Amino acid sequence: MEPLERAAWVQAVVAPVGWLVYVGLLLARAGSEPVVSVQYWDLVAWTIGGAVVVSMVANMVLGGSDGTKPDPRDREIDGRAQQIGNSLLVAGALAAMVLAMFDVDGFWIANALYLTFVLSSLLTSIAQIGFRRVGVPGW
Amino acid sequence: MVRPPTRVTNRIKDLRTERGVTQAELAARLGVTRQTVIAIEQGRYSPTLELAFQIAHVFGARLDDVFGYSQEEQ
Repeated sequence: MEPLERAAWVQAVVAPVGWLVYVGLLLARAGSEPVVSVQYWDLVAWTIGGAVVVSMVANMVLGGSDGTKPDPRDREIDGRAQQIGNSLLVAGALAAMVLAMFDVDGFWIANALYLTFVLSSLLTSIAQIGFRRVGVPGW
Repeated sequence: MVRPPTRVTNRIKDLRTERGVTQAELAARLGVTRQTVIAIEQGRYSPTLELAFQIAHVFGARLDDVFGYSQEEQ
């Protein structure tokens, strides 16, 4: 497997797992209290930071980079996948704006954005894997 | 059968076989990964014009001796 495809697989697993860990810790901290009243920002920071570290370690353990620089195909795949992932970021930003317009608690806006980042990362990874396995469609 | 995502066809595999060039050697001469050479050969990636000219140059062939374009509807 290409190192860049392996990195995409790692990202596809680590990002959603990191978010699920966050939700689990958040619910555990809330206990019987309303989840909105729970301090969440430190959990967000720790799970994002943890996901970055786990991704780096997983990539090293699974073989690391083979030292080759990205070639035009790698750059095209990366660009196309980022475009697809970014479309979800735009949708998430719009959702957060709508929540803010309706004076929804900041907890939900922050969590909607966090979920958007996770889903965008997941979609980007899936697109990268798909383009590598199936092929890169012409413009 | 899964259709290739590009209509660009090529004879790279035939030319490699004729000249005894491996995918790894071709990749090294082009400065790309072996996976990229495989993807081009299998029609999973349409190379940039610049890369297509480089490939033709490696084989000492004209561009349309290496690459073709299928007019059939996908």
